[in-house]
Amino acid sequence: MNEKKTKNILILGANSGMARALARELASPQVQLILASRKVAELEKSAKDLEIRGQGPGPKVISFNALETGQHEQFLSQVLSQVGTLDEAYLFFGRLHGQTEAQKDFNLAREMIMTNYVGAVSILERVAAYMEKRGQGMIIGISSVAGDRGRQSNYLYGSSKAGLTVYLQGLRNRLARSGVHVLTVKPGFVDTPMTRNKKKGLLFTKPEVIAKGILKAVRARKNLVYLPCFWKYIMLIIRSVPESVFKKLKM
Amino acid sequence: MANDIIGRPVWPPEIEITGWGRYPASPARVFPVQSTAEPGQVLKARRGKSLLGRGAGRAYGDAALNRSNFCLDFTPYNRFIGFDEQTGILRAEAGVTLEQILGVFVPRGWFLPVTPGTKYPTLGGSVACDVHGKSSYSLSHYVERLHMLLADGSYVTCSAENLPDLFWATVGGMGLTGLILEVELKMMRIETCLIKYQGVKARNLEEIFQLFEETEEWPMTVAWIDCLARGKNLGRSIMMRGAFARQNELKSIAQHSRARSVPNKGKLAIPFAFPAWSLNQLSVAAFNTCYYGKHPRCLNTIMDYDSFFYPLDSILQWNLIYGGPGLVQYQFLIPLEQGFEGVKTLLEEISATGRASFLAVLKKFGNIQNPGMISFPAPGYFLALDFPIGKGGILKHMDQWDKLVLKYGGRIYLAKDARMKQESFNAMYPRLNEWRAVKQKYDPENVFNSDLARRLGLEVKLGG
Ligand SMILES: NC(=O)c1ccc[n+]([C@@H]2O[C@H](COP(=O)([O-])OP(=O)(O)OC[C@H]3O[C@@H](n4cnc5c(N)ncnc54)[C@H](OP(=O)(O)O)[C@@H]3O)[C@@H](O)[C@H]2O)c1
Repeated sequence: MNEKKTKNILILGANSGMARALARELASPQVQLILASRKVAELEKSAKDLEIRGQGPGPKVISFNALETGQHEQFLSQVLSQVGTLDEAYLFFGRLHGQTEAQKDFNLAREMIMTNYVGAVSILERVAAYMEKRGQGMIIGISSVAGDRGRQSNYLYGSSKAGLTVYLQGLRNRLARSGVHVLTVKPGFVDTPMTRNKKKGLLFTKPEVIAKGILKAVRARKNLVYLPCFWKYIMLIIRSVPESVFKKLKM
Repeated sequence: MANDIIGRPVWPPEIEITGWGRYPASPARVFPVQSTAEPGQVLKARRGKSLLGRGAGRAYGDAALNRSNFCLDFTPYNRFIGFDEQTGILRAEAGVTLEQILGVFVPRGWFLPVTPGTKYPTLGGSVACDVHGKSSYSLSHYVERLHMLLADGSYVTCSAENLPDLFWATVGGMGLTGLILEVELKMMRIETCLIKYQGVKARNLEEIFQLFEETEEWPMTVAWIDCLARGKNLGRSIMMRGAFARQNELKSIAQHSRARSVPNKGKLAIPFAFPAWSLNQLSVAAFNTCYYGKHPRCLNTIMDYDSFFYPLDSILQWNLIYGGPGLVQYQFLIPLEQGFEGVKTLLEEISATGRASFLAVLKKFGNIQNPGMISFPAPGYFLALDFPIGKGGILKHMDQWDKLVLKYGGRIYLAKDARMKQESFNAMYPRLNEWRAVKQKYDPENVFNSDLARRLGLEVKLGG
C-alpha cells in the first residue's frame, strides 16, 4: 500500500456538499488528497471514508479558514511540507446568507465577500505563485451562476461570486503561458447544505452529478463550465435582457 | 443546520412527503443531515416538535412520515467509518444505502449478510425495519452495535450485550426509540458475487410448500405466486432459489470475469404515473412468460446478484406503475405450523375479492427466533401482495384479511403498512408491552414520533 503517489490534490472547503461528492470520485490509490476546511473533526471522518473507498492511505487533513488570510502563506507551506508537491487545487468553500438578512446586517454581507472573494483570492494567489514557478498545475474554482448578473434577490452573494469569476478569468490569462490551467465552474442550484432552507424545485441538481461534471471538464481542460450544462442557456438569456428592462423585473 | 442573524436556527420549509407507495402523503420540515453535530442541533432546537429519522423513503406507507413535525433526512449522512477485514465488521453512517455498500465491498469479496428485495434503502432504515431477505435471518442478527442519539440528548452505543433493552427495541423499532446515527454490521464473505440459481415450477400450493422444505442446498429462496390461478391451480408458482456460486462452480471465462464485479446494466426509468390498470398487464405478462414460456420445469443457471435479489430495481420508480393515487403492499406472516392453512385461506379470500395483485411473493422464514421486540420477521410463511389504492375500496378488504391473519396467529409488516387499525396491531405483536416499557424509559415525551406511531398507538400515553 505504499506505492508512490502520482497526484497530489488539495481540496479547499472539503466539507462542502459538492466537495464531498467530488472527493469520492477522486479517491484512488493513485491520488493523495489533502482535505482542508474549518471543521477538522468532520474532515477526519470524511478522510476515513475516502480511505476505505479509495483503498489507498487516507487523505491528509489540514485546518483552513478562508477568513484568516494572514495564515494562508503558512497553510500552503504546511500542505507542501506534508505532500511535497501540489498538482491540483480545488476551491469549494463559500458562504451564502439570505439577501434580506444581509441587507439588514452588514456583518453577513461582509462574511460572504470576505469568504467568497477575499479569502478565495488570498489563497489562490499563493497557490498560483507556487504553480507558476513550478510550471505546471491546475486550479479549479467553484463560482456560481449567481455571479453572472446582479439580481435584487441575491446580489450581495452574487457580486462576491462575480468578483471570483473575473479573478479566475484574469488568473487563467496570466497563467496560460506558464502551463498552469484554470477552470471556472458555475453551478446552478445544487442540493447541498448551502440550500437546505430552500424549497427544491426542478432546477435542483444532486452534488454527485455536479462532481462528475467537474471531473469531465477537468479532463477536457475546459476553461469555463456551467453545471448542469443547461444553465449556460438560462444564463445566456438572463444576461441578454437589456438593463433598462431588467431593472424592473422581480428576480 | 443554518442559523439566522441572531443565531437562531432556520428551519427548512414544510414539504409534502410520502413513502414508496406514495400513499399517504404528509407535510413535514425535512432537515438534511450531513455532519455529525446536526442531529443534536435539531434535537435542541425542536421547540416542542417531534423528530423522526428518515432514510431513502423506501418504506411503503407512513413509517417515515411525521405530519407537521420534523424529519431528519439521513441520506447525505453516508460515510464509511471503519472496516475490519478480519471480522468483516463494517461501521458506517446510517444514511449509506445498501447499493453504496455493495458498490464498494462486492469487488473486495464481501456481501450484505441479508438484503431485502431492493438495494436502495439506507442502512439505518433497514435496521429500523429489521429487514429480511431470502434467507432465514433478519438483518438484526448481523447488527453488532448501534450508535444512537437519544431523546435526552445523550449519545449511546447499544448492542445485544450493552443496553440490550434499547437494542432489541430499536431493531425493528421503526425509528421510535432514538436516532440511529451509525451502524456496525457484520458483512458476509463471498467467493463470487454470482448466484447459482434454480427456478422450479410448482403447479399448486402443495407443491410450492414442498419445495420450501428443500432448504439444505438452497439458503435463499422465494416464490412468485400467480394470484389469478384458482381451484386446483391455487398457488401456481415459481420457486426461485439460489446460493452464492463458488469459484469452481463457474463455467465460463465470462463468468469468472464477473465474479467480483458490480453489475452495471441499463436502468429503465418510469417517467410518470401510469394509469392504474397497466400493472395488471405487466405483471401477468411477466409471470406468464416465466411460467409458460421458455421456463422448463426446472431451470439451472448462473446469474448476477442484481437479477436475483433486485429484479424490480432495474425499473427505477416502478411504484409509478400503480397509477396516480399510489399503492399499498399487504405483507403478512403466518407461523410455521399454521402456514399452509393460513396462506391457502388468505390466498382464496384475496383472489375472491377480484382485486388480487396478480403477483404475490411467498417466502419461508426458518425456525430461528428473533429477539427484536416488535420486529416483523419470525418463523413462518410471508406473503406479500401489491394493490393500487384506486378509489380506496381495497382498504376495507384489508381490514377483513387482518382478521384472518390474526386468526392464524400472524402479523403485518410495519414497513409495508399504511392502514392497519390499532386493535389489530395490538393483537399481532405479543411483546408490544415490553417494547412500550423501553419507549417509556428512553423517550417518555415522544420526542421521536411518526404518522405510523400515531396511527398504531406506538406512543407513550402522556398525562396517564
Ligand atoms: N449549493 C448551490 O446551489 C450552489 C450553487 C452555485 C455555487 N455554489 C458554490 O459552490 C461551492 C460549494 O457549495 P456547496 O453547496 O457544496 O456548499 P456547502 O455544502 O454549504 O459548503 C460550503 C463549505 O464552505 C466552507 N466554508 C465556509 N466558510 C469557510 C471559511 N471561512 N473557511 C473555510 N471554509 C469555509 C464550509 O466548511 P466547514 O464546514 O468546515 O465550515 C462548508 O463546508 C460554494 O463556493 C458555493 O458558493 C453553490
